[in-house]
Amino acid sequence: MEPILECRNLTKTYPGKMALCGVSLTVAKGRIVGLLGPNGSGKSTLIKLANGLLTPTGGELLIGGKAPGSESKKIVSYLPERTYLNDWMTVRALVDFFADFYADFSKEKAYDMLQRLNISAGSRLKTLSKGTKEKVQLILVMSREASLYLLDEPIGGVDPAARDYILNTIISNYTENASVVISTHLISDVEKILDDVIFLSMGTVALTSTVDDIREKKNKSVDELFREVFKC
Amino acid sequence: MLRKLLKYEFQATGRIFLPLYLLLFLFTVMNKAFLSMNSGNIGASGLQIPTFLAMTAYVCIVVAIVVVTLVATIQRFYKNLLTDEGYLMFTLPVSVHSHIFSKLLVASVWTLLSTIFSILSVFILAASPDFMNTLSRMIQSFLQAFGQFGAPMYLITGEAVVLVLVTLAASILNIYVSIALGHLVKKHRVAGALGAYFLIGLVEQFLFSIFMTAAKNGEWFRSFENWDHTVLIESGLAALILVTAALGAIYYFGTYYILKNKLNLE
Repeated sequence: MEPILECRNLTKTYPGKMALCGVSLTVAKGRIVGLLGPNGSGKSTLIKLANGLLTPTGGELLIGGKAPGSESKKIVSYLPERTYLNDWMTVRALVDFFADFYADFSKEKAYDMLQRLNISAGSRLKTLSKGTKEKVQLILVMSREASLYLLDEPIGGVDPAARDYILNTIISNYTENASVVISTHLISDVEKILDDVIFLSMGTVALTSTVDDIREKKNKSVDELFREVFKC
Repeated sequence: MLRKLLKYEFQATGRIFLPLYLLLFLFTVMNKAFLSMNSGNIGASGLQIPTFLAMTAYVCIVVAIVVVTLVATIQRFYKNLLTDEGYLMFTLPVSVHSHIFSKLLVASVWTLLSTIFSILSVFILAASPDFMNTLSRMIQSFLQAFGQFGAPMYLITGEAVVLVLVTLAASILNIYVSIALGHLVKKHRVAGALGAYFLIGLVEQFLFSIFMTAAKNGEWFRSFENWDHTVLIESGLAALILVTAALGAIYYFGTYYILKNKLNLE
């Protein structure tokens, strides 16, 4: 089966810094993958490259066999690590915006989740707290029926109670053939929903494995292994 | 998709421009009222201070419209596409052409509206029996010219309108390509954009003066001496339109190339 995401010798440099250095990896369809690594290991850079927000310095990255472009953007749902929505728009206006541009967006799902998290659709983004803004962003991103979800730090800014709800939302919202890539360093929180892990270290792949393998063969949790691999 | 982009672009900008236009309208009416009340003897009427304040506010609004139109043209392109908001815009399943075109079209519309409304408002304030007479005489002689010269006059007017529109689009694209070039400078993007803008201006000036010198020395201008004046104006305008359109096309494809192949959002 063709992988949904593939990197071949992918390299990205910033002035005076190498963010990714010859990364080769694949993400198969229907998997939930943890993209794990310490700060500055290249997680966000990789995800931004997959969204076409950055241009590779070398190598290539393919989404469903094609370089990022209008076609790949139809099937990729991306949650950036920052707040990127227009402050002056209301939640309702943003739902309409997403529904307008993404054919796979379900308004029903979005309003359902908003209600569950007690976010009123009439409020302007400006008036919401940072955590609530992040929840709105995640709801918008997860209300799509995409083939690939790229979630950059989806639970970084929200409280532990909402974290559980969000993780549940992620696993209950994606369909069998869809893949989810979650970048985070809050490993113990996401560990239970992951199928595979990719460890990034200073712009290179330090380890790829299924979570089952880590548990069975090494007899460790992902969190323990992470602490071992990235011991300071 | 272009239609949807246009819709949101108008929404995002309309919330700034429409209140400004409304203010312009209100203060035009207010000043007109004061002017007709005072009609000559301001000192005597005791309305000196309100008249002065209303006029000051009016001038401020006109200046604000000019400034906001320029700033919005820059900000909607720079902020919406190349800062955090670009994370949203560039992950939409929309082509780069649609992005540039929607911004260009909306910026052009607001620039035209701002110009038309400002001029109209000054006309309303200036309107007096004398002024109206002069205006109607001007319009009459204009219409007369149409009757006298016929087709060439229509052609020249049409060309003038096209030239204004093409120049407007090219100026906006000049700003866009400068911002896009600035984006290539990794750390000082705003400075890069400013530098690019002045450099483009400098290069154009340079090429233009080379062309003028060559044309003068080569006696090229002499060859037009026997041309009919109407034909000369017609061809001159056509040439200006073509040159401006060519510049606009260069700016457009430069912007497109950078956004398509060199995008690196922070």
